[in-house]
Amino acid sequence: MPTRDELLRELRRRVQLPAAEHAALLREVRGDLEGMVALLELQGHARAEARARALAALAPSEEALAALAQVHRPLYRRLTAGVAQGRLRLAEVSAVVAMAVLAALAPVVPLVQGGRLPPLPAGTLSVCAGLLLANMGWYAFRGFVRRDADVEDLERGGRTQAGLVGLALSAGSLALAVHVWQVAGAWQRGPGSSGPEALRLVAEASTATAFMLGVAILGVFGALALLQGIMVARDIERELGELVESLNPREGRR
Amino acid sequence: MTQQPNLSKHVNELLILATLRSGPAHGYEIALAVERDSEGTFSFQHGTLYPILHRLEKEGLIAGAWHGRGRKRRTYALTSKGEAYLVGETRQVKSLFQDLIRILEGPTHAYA
Repeated sequence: MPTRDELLRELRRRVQLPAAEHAALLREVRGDLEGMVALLELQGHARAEARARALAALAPSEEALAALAQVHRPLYRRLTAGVAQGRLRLAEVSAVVAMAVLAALAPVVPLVQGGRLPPLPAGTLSVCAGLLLANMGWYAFRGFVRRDADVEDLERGGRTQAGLVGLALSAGSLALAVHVWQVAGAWQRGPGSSGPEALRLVAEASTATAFMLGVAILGVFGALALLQGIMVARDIERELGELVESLNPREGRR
Repeated sequence: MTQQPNLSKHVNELLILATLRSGPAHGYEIALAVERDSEGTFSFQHGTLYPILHRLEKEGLIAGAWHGRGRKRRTYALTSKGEAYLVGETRQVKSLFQDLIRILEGPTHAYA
């Protein structure tokens, strides 16, 4: 009897199903195995014989798993089946990079057009926003469109997301601190002459804060979406653990 | 020559649909019923039941549902589309086998 981890590794290698379908299949097979063993025992068969018959009838072979993968093939993979995989990956990554660059440039374009370079904290915040969108976009694409993200992929995405949110908050806080320092400096020079200057700095500080909070909220939503994907993937592992337990030859366990 | 259907695949589908005519059933109940009703002639092994069930469900010929509290189990039921499909395909399979038997039992032709 393989251990739960051995079975997990084997299933990950063999079962090319999207996460939700993977969990559902395990749940269905577990339920049917338990039901069949119970029914055969009721009909007078010994537990060992009932278990062997149930496994022989219901445990999916490589062929059955390949057929299931065909049945549950995501639409995106069916549509792109004729495209060379290398080219397809390049196109996918390019699309995500383009989205990230646009998202990063959008907030700073008005500044550049006005002949000013964005200050370093604001520029960093823009880059963070772009990277966050790219990260979320990539994993959303893999989770919902290509449907081939497993739990390790999603956890990696989640760690990247958390890091980028942290970086965005740091950059935003630094930008805010710089603005506050500049406002203080402007007021020190005298409220009368530096009033408009101070107001402009306060407006920029508010904008930077709002942008930072927006980026952070975006990042948190993305992290929650990844977390949901991780929970579905973890569901598979729990179902698998229960399946292994239901096949355990120890007497009295059901 | 027209393309011949994949008879074995077809037969498996029809066996499942015919079994569900009696009412909704779990996957394992379908497997056991087919083996019992055919006296062992037909049986599902190595989980080959599941791709067929899932495909029939995607095509709308059967409908799957989860039942029970806690540990849910899946049952399948024949849809009206599945019922109509079964009637039509049963007629075709009958005709196919009648033609086959006619050839097997009929007089052989002399070829010059």
